[in-house]
Amino acid sequence: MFPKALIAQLNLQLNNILGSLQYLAPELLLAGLFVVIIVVDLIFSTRSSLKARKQDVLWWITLAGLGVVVLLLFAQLDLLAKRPIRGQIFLGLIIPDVYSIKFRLIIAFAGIFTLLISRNSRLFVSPNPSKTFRFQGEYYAILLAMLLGLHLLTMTDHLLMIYVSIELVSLSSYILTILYFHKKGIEGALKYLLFGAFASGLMLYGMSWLYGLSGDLSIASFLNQIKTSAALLNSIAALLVLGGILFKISAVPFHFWTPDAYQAAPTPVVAFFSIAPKVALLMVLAKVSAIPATLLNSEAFDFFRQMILLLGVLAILTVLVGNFTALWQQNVKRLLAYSTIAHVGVLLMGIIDLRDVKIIHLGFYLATYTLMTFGAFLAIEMVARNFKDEENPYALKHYAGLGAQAPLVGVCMVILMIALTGLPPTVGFQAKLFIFSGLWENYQIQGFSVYLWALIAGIFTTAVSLFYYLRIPFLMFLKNGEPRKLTFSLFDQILLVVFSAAVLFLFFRADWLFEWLK
Amino acid sequence: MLSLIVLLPLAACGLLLLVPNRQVRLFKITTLLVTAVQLVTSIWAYVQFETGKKLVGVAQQSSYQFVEKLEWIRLDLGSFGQLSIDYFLGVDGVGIAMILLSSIVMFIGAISSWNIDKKQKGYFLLYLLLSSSVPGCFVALDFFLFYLFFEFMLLPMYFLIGIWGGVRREYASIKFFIYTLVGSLFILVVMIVLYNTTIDPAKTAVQLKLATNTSQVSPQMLEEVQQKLANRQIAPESQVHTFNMLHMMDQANYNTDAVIHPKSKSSWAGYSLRFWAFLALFIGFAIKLPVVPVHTWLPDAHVEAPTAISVVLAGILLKVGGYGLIRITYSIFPDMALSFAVITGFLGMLSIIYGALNALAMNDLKKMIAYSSVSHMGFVLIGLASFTAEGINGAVFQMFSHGILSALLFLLVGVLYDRTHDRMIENYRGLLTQMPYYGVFVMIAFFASLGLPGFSGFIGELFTILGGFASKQLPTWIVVVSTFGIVLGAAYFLWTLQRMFLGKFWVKNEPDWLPELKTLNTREWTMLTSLSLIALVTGIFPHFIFNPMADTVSQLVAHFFKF
Repeated sequence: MFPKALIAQLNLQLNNILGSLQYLAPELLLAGLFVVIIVVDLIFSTRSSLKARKQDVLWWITLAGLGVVVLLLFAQLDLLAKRPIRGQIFLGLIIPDVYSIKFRLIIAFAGIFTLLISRNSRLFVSPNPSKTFRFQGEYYAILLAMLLGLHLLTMTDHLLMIYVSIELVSLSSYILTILYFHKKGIEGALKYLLFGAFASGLMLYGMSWLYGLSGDLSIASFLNQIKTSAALLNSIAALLVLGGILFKISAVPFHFWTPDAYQAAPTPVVAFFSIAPKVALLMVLAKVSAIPATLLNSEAFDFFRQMILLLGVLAILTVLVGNFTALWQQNVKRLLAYSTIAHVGVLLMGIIDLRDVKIIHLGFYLATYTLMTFGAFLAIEMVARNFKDEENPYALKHYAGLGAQAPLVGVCMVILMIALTGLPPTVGFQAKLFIFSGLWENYQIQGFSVYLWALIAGIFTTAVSLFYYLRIPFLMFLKNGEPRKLTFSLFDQILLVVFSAAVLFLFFRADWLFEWLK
Repeated sequence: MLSLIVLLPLAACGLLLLVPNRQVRLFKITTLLVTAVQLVTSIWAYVQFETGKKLVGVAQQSSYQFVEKLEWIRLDLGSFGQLSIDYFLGVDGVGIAMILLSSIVMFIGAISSWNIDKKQKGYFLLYLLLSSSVPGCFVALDFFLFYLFFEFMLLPMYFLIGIWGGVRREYASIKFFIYTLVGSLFILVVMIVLYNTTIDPAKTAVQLKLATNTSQVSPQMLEEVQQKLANRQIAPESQVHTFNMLHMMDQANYNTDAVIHPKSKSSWAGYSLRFWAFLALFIGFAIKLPVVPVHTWLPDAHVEAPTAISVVLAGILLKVGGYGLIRITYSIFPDMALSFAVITGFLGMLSIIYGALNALAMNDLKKMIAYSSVSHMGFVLIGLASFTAEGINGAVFQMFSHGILSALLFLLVGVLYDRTHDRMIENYRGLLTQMPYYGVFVMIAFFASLGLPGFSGFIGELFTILGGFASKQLPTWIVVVSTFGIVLGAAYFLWTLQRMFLGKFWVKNEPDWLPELKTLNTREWTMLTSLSLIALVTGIFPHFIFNPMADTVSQLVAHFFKF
């Protein structure tokens, strides 16, 4: 019935896929967990005696599952070391290299941290019993789906795979944004959805150009084709694809959705958004901007110079806009949203570094930023929970005089804010130091002034950022507010101390993290 | 030994963190004890400090004493080589004077913190942090470590002024923070550039397999490495980039192609990048010193800070600026510093005159003294810009002397303020009859500050001015105008003395204030007497400070003119 050749080829492809499955163990587990959570959610919704325990059960299953994912990722490191991949796996759709595993670990840890800080979140502990949060099962399931998408993003340079993963991530994040279903939330989520869909469309369009230009769907092959195609077409195609990616990591000028979406979404979700998608997409960007060594001094290098110039200028704009807009914010969540934008600018500065070492610098920045941002979001959530009766629990004015009543949270807040600014003695300092010294080094090698300007902008905005980061400790310790009884759960306090202590400790032993990332 | 000075307060801080808030006495006593141990240790270090050694150049580790060096962070950056940060402490003659000064002032500050009456736990913890980071700045020989301590002075200071300060404390503390932070970012940029440029020849030798470990590296190997570096023969992978300041002072350790290499032709806006790097460092430390026109944070910070913090601020924090200029800006960029000497001298002159004129116009006693600080620190710049042994000796001596005298002056303001909560000069008259001992101390402090021979202030100003006149770099008119600043100093001090202390006793709010104007208590006696004595002794026997410093300074001058 079928021609023999076709069957033989199918057989070969199946064998390839079966042989590749072992490299996808963590992702398979994530997919399985997604199903398990939905089933468990259904089972526990049937009877009211079970309903009371649903919340705990779901939390523990997800946590345990993610724990196993982390273990599997470590096992993958071993696997890769023992059995290096020969040829292609999944027909070239997936490239699970060492860096992708390390970046996936950062993502998985971000997932675990999200769970930990949702433990006492308002998601579950509703202030008013009639408005309990109904979508617990969905929350965990979609979080897992998003994790799956992010994982896949880190290990592909295939346009199709990139698009599918980005869509998986985007759809999940639209839903996570709207979980509260209140009016303000819907506005933010809708903005996000409309912008996001538009950006996806543009990206898809750009990808079709790339395919047309190179005849292949892999980024590497496009990069190798550059010398043969017309420069303008290349630039347009690259711009469209870059635009889509930059939108997802909320770089200027595609950042408008960020503060609104962040304000609308539950805090643990925001913390997750502020880091995990960036980890995955920066990995993609790093692949897009990896210049084949053979091209470094050829004519085609002009194209890359354009791209570097573009990304460099966008990075400068991003740090400027992010930091300066953050200055006027009166809402802590929005403030942290703009702070995230500012950090994306610095990360983009890391992307335009042309040396191989940049992936380690980026990994270092992302790993440490994960600790800081989760700590910061946890702290603001802990404070907001004490002001849940107010009109706006996240208003900056609530922080006045809190330091005296909650010295522990106050001190942790100081440490985290200093870390976000990037000053010693926190690891935020080294993270910025690596990126900035990379800029200088590239400026020396390439003599390309965009590096110098990026360095100047980076340092200058660090000074600016201190104004708003320091405003929180300033309000907490230097201003007097009405005395108010604050309560924090022990679990949250321990978690906060762990985040802050890690940020401090890694300053003194930055080499440990750095060596591991290599 | 140096580690003890730096780390002891941190350890105490960690322990005190566990003590409940109520144990106020314990916090005070621990802080006092810790600073006392620091003082004893630094006196011990001062006594042990060997003088008359044959020094071999600022860039050599053997020119420093009490050296402690441990590898701290070492990263392999692949094609970019290696990054190396050391825990590297040591002092030379300039450092030992500064360490001595800082432990004296921190000790006095701890005593004067006794009457802090709110949130004592936080206060003393922050004070301990400060008494770790300030000496840390003076002993760190690794730029990264220095920067860490430098930044770490900021935060405690910000909170100390912001929480325990006066009425406008928030404004003052944020202004202080922003000024100093901007300065430190300038320093950060240059630190990044220098670290990218400099290699550690010893560690690179090990990397090149010339030796198995750094202790086996011979001077010949170092020269070989430097020779290879100059000929671009060392692959980027084997270069060990370092934050070691001593290596940064020796241009033989620079990558030949580095844009801040003295031979580099790179330029930006018409000036070489080497000049811009120098300028950024200069501004960074000038803000701290402070130099007019970036001094405006100082009067605000001083007026609002509690007495003990004013003492520390004027006594040593400003000196970090001067010390940084000598140790880092001048030692790493001597050629640029030399060509910038006239402007440096001019800025010094400007600070002296402008500070003095402002001091004359002030009604607030504390503000008057704050501006007198600006004026006195101007002499440090004159001494530095002279590029003569006298001038630089004088500059360091002036820093020491001003550290003691300004601490004394701010304590005296504190004595009055504690009693009446008012610092306006016009609200007092004839205080000498009411508080004779206090009056005597004020006279000592004022006369010492205005440069009466026999006190330390005279020596510092004399030597900087002498250096200025002997200098080939500075035009004479700058020095002449600066000398006029001494006259202005006499004017504002004597005028204040006459207005506040002489004549018939009168205070603005007699019924409330008169019972408060009691004589000095034991604590005040102790602090004031000891500081006055130090000012007197170092004024009569300046060689106590000059002796350990002389070799270092002549070595510095030789280093500056090496180009």
